[in-house]
Amino acid sequence: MIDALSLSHAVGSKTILDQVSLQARPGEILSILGPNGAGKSTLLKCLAGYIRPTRGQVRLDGRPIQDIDLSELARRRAVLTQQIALNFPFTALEIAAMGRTALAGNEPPSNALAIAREALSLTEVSHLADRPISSLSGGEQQRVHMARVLAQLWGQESACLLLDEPTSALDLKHQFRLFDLCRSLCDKRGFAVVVILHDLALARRVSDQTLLLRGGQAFACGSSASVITPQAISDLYEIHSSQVMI
Amino acid sequence: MTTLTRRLTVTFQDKPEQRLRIILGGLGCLLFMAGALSVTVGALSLDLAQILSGSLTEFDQSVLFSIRLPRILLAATVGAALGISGAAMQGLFRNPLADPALIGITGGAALAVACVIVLAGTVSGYLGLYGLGIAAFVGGIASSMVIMRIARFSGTFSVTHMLLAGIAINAVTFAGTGFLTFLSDDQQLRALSFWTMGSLGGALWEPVLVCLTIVIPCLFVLIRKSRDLNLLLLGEENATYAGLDTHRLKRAIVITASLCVGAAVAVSGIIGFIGLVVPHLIRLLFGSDHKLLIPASALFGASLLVLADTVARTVVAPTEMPVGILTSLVGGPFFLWLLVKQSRLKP
Repeated sequence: MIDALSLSHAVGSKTILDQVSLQARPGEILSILGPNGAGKSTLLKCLAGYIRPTRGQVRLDGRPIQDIDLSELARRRAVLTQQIALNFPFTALEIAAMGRTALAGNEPPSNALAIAREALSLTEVSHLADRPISSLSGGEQQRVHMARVLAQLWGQESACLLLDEPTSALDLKHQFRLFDLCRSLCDKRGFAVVVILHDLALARRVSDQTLLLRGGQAFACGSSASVITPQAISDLYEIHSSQVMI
Repeated sequence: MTTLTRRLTVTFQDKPEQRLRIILGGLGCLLFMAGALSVTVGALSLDLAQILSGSLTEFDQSVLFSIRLPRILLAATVGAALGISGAAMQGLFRNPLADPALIGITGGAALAVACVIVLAGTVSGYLGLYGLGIAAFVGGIASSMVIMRIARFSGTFSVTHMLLAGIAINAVTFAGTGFLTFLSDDQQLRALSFWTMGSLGGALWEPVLVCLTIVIPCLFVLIRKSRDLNLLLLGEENATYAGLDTHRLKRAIVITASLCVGAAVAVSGIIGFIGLVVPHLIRLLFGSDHKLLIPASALFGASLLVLADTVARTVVAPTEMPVGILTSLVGGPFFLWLLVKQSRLKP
């Protein structure tokens, strides 16, 4: 569970986040939407503990996130970032197994590989396990990295999963498969999922809660069905309400 | 060769440890064969069977123990040092073309040695050799400290800043070395230019021991960090998310790589391309996993430099050629060929 209390972040004199609060609860999917440059990715980095906000506090399971050491943090939350450029020919299986590398405790490599294989089958890329990652398509690479992130949280209960536009390269079928997977992690393992999306209809359909961001401020926040309305969307993106398709 | 390595990969898919042992064993054999070849040839030919059975004449024994063995061991140690520092730097920069020379470690070490040669007068004997050694360590470490400090100016420890800082440091150190060359007298100029060309001539047991005591601990540190190095390839942000303390890892890598480069530069001058080509070849043949890459680069770098040095000291006998010229002469075009081949394979 992640609690963010009035986060503000500024780089120099530029304010990127302004008093944003949110709560990612176990068993729920929270989507974050907003125009380009609204501060979505910065918010996610703050929630992940990578950036320390200039004001406000992020709490993970009730503890200030900056007090948790990196390997413990890695077992409680995992992050899928947008693009990951890799100049080295690792196989998909090796990439997925990297999710286990820096976790505390001495796990035998065979164990990490077994987990990586299962994670690959969850994201439906096990047939690509031995292919070098650079030879895969964008969507396949995204699914391999998703498998790595799942391997990192393998066996954990009520952990947090932060996804930054995880569907950007996925076809329609795999978009739905991804959220089926998120939903079952929420239901069976009590995960809290925070996901940045651009597709309004998808967000409305798959997420429980929605936060709309504009100019670093929370524009609207609440249950997805009540927040994602044609009126709110036309205001948020400054388009005519007849252009809104949900 | 590629089919063979692929078969090796497929056969030992679920036994990575076994595959690692077989490859390292093979490279170990290669190093032994290179050493065995190198020990027999030279101004005086020695018979391998006689060496192994211990039935050498007294004169041959003194040639073996005071000239040839230290030289082969020095070549192996320097080759290993260059190979692992190159592999570590490439991992750190997440770029298969990075090299210790690129971020200015070699430049710093070279400038320090040039200072000693020109300002401290003639260099001779053990004391002079140790002086050079210490100067190269200090120069290498100093330039990497400066680079790390500059890289932190922006708040985060970014690889881009580090690379740019390395370019600037290189420009300054090369200017410094050039200025010292300009100041030096004939004797010093000769010493400087020979040292810059890179040579393993005049190898004694002392530099071998000094070099080994530095390179072996560094090798162990890097092998211990190999899984973390793999993770770092995902980028600093993603590695941090996966639980890795990237700042500590980067510091450890920079220090161990500077130590290795300093040790190598001090005893042998600037020997190019080993640090670039060796890890590259290992990666092409066996993949990018640092658990294999680091020890394999050590063994392969050692074998390659032993062979190169054997050629360098026999091909223009009775004199010898600086081995740095030979490695650059062969390494440069070979590396270009690799680049072209790689870019053709890409769609």
